[in-house]
Amino acid sequence: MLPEQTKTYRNLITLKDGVQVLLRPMTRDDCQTLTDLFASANEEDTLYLRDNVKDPAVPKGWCETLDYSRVLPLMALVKDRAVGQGSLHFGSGPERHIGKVRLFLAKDFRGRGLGTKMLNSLTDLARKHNLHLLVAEIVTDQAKVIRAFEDIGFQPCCTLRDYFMLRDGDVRDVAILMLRLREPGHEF
Amino acid sequence: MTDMTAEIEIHDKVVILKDGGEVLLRPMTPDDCQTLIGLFATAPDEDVLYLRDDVRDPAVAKGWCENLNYGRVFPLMALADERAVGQATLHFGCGPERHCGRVRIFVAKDFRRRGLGKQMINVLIDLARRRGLHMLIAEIVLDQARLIKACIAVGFELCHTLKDSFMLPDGNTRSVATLRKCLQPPCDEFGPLAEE
Repeated sequence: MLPEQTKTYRNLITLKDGVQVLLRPMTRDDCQTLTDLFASANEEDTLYLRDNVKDPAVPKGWCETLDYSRVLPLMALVKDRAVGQGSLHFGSGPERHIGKVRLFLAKDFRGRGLGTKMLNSLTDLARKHNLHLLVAEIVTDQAKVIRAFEDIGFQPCCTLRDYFMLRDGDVRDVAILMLRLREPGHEF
Repeated sequence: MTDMTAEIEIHDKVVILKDGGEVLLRPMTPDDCQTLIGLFATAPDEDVLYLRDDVRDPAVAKGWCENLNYGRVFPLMALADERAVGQATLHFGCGPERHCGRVRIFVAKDFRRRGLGKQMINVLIDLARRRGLHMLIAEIVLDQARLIKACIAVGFELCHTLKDSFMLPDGNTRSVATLRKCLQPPCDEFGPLAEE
């Protein structure tokens, strides 16, 4: 997939309840929209995210250092409001065939099929970038999220005990899920 | 960034191998560039196949020496006289993985099975404990059975294997074993029993 094709990627989706959501790559101009998305999230919503997204400097940093060849962030927008963000993180070196996906949805847009559609879009983008494998690392407390990933074909690989440290120092287990985008080459 | 001088003072250590050979273990410094290039230049192809970086490219070793940051990655050199005979690194996690460290090791062929790797890993384990890490992780291509066995011998446990997660320069893939060594007792929901 050429960088220009990535920039112009658009997917207008319709949720189960008829609401239309535009999925497109994040741009530098999305800083405020993204800050608002995370500002409205409550504490437990952001507990399992890797970054302190409540700090406006974090989304600002993401927007200022955009590099689609390293991380491809996908925005979900209803009119001008961001209702979700997903990202595809490209591996490098011996992991250049692997992508990692992350997803965050506004509370009022969960359970409406948006996450599935966003994951399908990220999977589609990963295929277009010739990736072989997609990996998701999810704290095991988030059973519903794990099930949602399994529903679109991710397979649980293993659980890493005490691998995720919360802000207060408590630790949680992490489930590694994998989606194979290409069949491996066989010896014969 | 961590105080480099303090680390250097702590980690200069002469170890005696099983066969009596003496090796100096010390943190890598910006001056190690040429020594490091020498270590990888003499390594056979099959040795560097499973490394994450193209270490044969002198720019890689140069980049490591120029961007030293012991707070992010702690590289340990093994030197016999002036010659580098091994390098091991401790990569500190960040964010929700700030309690985890990852170890990597490379030992020159003529210094394998002489106890050097074990001594180097033990120095990194000691440093990880002092930095307050909870666990160390080693990710090793499954083909490297001897290395996996050596890690198990110093207390690592095999956690899982990820199929096809390592791509070789020619595009072929290999499975990777993840090994873990706990440096602190696991959290216990009920806490320890009171002594009666």
